[in-house]
Amino acid sequence: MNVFFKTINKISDLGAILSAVVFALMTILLLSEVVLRTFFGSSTEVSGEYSGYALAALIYLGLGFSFREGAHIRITFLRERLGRTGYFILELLCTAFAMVLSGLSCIFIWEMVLTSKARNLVAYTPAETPLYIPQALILVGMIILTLQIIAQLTALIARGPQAVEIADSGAED
Amino acid sequence: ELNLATTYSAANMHAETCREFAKRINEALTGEVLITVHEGGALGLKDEDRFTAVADNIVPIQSVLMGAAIGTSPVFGLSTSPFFVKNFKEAKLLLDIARPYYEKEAKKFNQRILYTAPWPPSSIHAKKAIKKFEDIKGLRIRTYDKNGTAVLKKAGANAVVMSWGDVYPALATNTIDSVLTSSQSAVAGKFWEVLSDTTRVYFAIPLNMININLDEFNKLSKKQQEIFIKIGNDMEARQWKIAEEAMTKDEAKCAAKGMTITTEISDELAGKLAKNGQDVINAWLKKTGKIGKDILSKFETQRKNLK
Amino acid sequence: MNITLITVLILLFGLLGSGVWIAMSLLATAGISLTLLTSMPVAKIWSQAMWNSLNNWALAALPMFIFLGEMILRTRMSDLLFEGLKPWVQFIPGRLLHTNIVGSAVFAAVSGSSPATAATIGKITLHQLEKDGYNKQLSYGSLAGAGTLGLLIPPSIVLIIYGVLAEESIGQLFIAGVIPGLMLASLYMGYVIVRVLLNPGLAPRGREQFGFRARMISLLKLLPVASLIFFILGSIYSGIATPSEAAAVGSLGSVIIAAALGDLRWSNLVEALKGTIKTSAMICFIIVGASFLSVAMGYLKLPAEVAKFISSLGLSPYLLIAILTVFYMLLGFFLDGISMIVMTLPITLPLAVQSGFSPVWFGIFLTLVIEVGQITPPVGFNLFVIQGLTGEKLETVALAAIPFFLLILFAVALITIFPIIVTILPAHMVG
Ligand code: NA
Ligand code: NA
Repeated sequence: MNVFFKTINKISDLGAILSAVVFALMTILLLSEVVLRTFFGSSTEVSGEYSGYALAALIYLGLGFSFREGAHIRITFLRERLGRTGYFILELLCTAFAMVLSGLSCIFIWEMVLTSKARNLVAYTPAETPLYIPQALILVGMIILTLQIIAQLTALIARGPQAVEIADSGAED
Repeated sequence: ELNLATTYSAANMHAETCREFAKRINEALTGEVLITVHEGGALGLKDEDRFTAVADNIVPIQSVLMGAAIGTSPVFGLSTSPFFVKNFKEAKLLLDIARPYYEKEAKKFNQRILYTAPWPPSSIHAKKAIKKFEDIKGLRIRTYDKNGTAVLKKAGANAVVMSWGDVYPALATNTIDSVLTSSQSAVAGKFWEVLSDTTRVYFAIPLNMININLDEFNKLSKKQQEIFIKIGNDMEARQWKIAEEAMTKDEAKCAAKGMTITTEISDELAGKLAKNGQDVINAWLKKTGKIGKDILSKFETQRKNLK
Repeated sequence: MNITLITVLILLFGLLGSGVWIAMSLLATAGISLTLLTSMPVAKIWSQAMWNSLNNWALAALPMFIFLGEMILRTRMSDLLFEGLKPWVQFIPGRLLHTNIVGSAVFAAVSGSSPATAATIGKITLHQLEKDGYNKQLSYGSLAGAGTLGLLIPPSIVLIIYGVLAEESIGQLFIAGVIPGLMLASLYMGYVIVRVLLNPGLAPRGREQFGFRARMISLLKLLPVASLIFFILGSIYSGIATPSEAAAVGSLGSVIIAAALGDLRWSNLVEALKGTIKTSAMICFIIVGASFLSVAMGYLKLPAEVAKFISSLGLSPYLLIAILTVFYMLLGFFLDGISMIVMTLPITLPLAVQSGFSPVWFGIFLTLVIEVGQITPPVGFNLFVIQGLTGEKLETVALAAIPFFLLILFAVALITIFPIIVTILPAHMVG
């Protein structure tokens, strides 16, 4: 069981590291555009387009990590008014629901990537980037998020209602 | 009940023609068909998604920019070839010749072209008139696609691709000093606040096609289909007329605000630009093979008889 | 239409209320209502929305600005900033509480987005203000309210989108936003001053005396952040960088200044990056959900139908603006600002113009009512930002924002009665 959690944590961390790398690359790309245009009268030609891909990639790749860290917010009004068992059941339902949604999103994005590849969809930009490539990155991010939610759900079931901490909110630093 | 989506804002003439199309269909087929027009990006689709979105019936009818469908169907790239057609007449001729090929391609992606709609050609809006080929050198010019960038770079300009939203601030702060776009966009962006000259270079007369999902179309009765086609034809005629008028009208608006309009360019400039554009045509020929060759040879023969 | 509206509301409130993560609630509401109420290929629309909502150059500035705020927070820059400000705000009732407002107003001149402004300034101020013993309600509320200045003071994403859709000059719109933006900032400051005068306990007692020497030293302490702001503003207004690139320039600047202060350590950088990813992922994932919900609303034709209904009423100009304010306020409970504009503008703009309002004026009006939506629950991005930064409950933050929500409505009333507030600058612009 421990190996299971450790592996998933590692994967989420890896996602976060990739996300940070993409963030750095995006910043460097935009700075290069500024430098090229200002000093060399030239252009990367892709800064607008690729900063869009970079944003999508860095957000999705960071989802698993940020979910584990409790960065994603929710409304706690009802939960706090329930007892320990009620809280546990509701938490279980919420997490399971999130898992289903996240899993469905993976399937849908997977289909989108396949269609984009099969149809040779390209961006309407000078680079004519095949869209399945950046789309595959967001698929990876969603898969990591789904794994992380599965881990959370497993942990919740394993610990049971007795161990549930009634947290004030999910967003502690 | 059918949805019709356009990327364009309510004031845009393409959106206007789409509304007119919907209105006429809804009138002709009251109680049978109801088309709702969604303007702007309301349905969350981007240009490159639109052709396949009709295929998938995400939106049954869409205004699709042909140039944005080249990933799936290179043949549509012809309409955005730079400096290839020299005026609306030539553009129409080219369309008439290419139309059967376009329809075949559309059918491959489970759709049917209801009508085509041209854009007013892109001109160069700058702080000087473009008289000689030399004048392009050193322009810090904003373009919107691969072809524009390639051709203008070859002519010595610093061509940068920039989103429309960035264009105005970039002009105001002199990050760029010229823009390749239609005069309609020049009016929308109030370019006279920062620029002085518009030169009609006929960069391209890009086309949109308004396509309907084939399953939806086949659901219609024979009579209804005929009405769709008839009104589509009317819209096509309408849009070709207003696109050409719009160019002169919008240029007049720019002129009234103090911009100088150059409507004729020298043969030297036109020739050199066309030569620069040839690369794009060659690349297109390579991608489209026999179809491309057929279209071009027919066009070159009939082009001479025009006038 | 009624059944549509009821379905959407039940789903949204049910899911949000049960404590499903906000982003997930929005995604699910959109997905389920499309499945129930239409015959659309939902899976395809779903994946398209997840992809298209973030494949967006204009949003790329958001994480970079959040990183900038993180760098200021995690280096000595933030301490120096507050120490440097102290002597100068000593005699203004509410003292450092005004940092949220003034900070946001200044930052609004570089950032075009409301949550980016709130997140960047909040990262720097909120913990410090709490530590110093300032009233939490006023601190959260003023940040929520002032963050919205990011949309009103140029550059502004909302005004760019409006300009493109309405075919109005973005330059004119930008200029038109300046006075209303400053006016709103003054209203906020006035409110804070009044509150603190009525109840001095809202701000900590600090009767330190600052001599000339101390004041001069304090100026030095302001230098790092001041030069960073100068760096970013300069890059935009000298034409070196576009507004979207300025965020990258700012990120680089923050690293350079951290290094100059001898404060650039690997640990700082890692913490800043972690914080950036967490905050950006939280905000942007909600943006994904909100976009999908907006797309769904587009297919369900809800906003457009209501707008059409309003147009059929044939209202007088003031009544029209009053009704439109309520309409956009209701939309703003659930939708993000840009979607609201895209879906309703084709109907509401001609309506306003017919009633004698200029398109530029209407753009500023829309920006103000969209700002209202940023600070109202259940979907209010500035509230989410503060919730994310502080770990407070949404209810707490939303309550704190109410006075500032009312002040924005007051500003709407002011520009409606005195349109000159909006039109005077664009009218005098050259050209
Ligand atoms: Na701003
Ligand atoms: Na709201």
